[in-house]
Amino acid sequence: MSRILLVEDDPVTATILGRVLDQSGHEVEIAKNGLAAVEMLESESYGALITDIMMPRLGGEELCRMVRADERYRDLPIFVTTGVIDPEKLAWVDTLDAVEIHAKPIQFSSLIERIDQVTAD
Amino acid sequence: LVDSDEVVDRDVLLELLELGGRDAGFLARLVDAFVDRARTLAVNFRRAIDEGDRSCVEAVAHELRSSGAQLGALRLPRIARDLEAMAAEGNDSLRPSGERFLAEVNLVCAALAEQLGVIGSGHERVDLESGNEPNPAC
Repeated sequence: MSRILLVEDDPVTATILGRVLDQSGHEVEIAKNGLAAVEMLESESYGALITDIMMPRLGGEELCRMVRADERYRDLPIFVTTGVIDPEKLAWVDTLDAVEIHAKPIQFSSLIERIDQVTAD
Repeated sequence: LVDSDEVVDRDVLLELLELGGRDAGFLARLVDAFVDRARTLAVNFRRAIDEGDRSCVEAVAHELRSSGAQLGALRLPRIARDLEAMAAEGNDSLRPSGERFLAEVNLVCAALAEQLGVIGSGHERVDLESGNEPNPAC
């Protein structure tokens, strides 16, 4: 089991993904935006970060950049879930280490499989 | 009249019902969350259409496309994606597509309520016109 930080402002997606992760044996904590996620990262340790991109009060791109720039979270796996279709708008992901994209609607089995892999390491 | 099976994929809802397990209200809460959010967003979406606020139109379409797809909406994702693209390209004639988008959101809400009744989780009929909350998304 691993503690997962899920950053998602859409209550529907957060509820579904939270339940899926819970049933997969992970402990899930939810932040509604990137700013709240930064505060939670300061106070807790997480095995992986899952984040949406388009959110108020610090979006997913800015959050990922901040996390990757911080030595304390250098090894924290990041999963970006997004409905963004334009590949140019996602090019920033390739510039960061250990960040992978999962398109919405989320295919839960593949995401959970990857979460299980990275948190088992 | 529109067949709700043409609007939402019942199999997706059944999967979510199964995901809820012994939590009988899980699916109903998801639907409530979608409807509440749609109601909130619809208010400012209309205003954004009136004022030509393309970034707000794009943000609302994006959010409801994602959450709608997660709940099995069949046509809404494509309609929303087209609207997002129009707004992003700077198209100033968003009203017809915007009206079509809102109409489909209304249909999705109604279809979700109907499907909940069919698969055994009671739910009240919803009405997007009654919303008046501020929209934090734009």
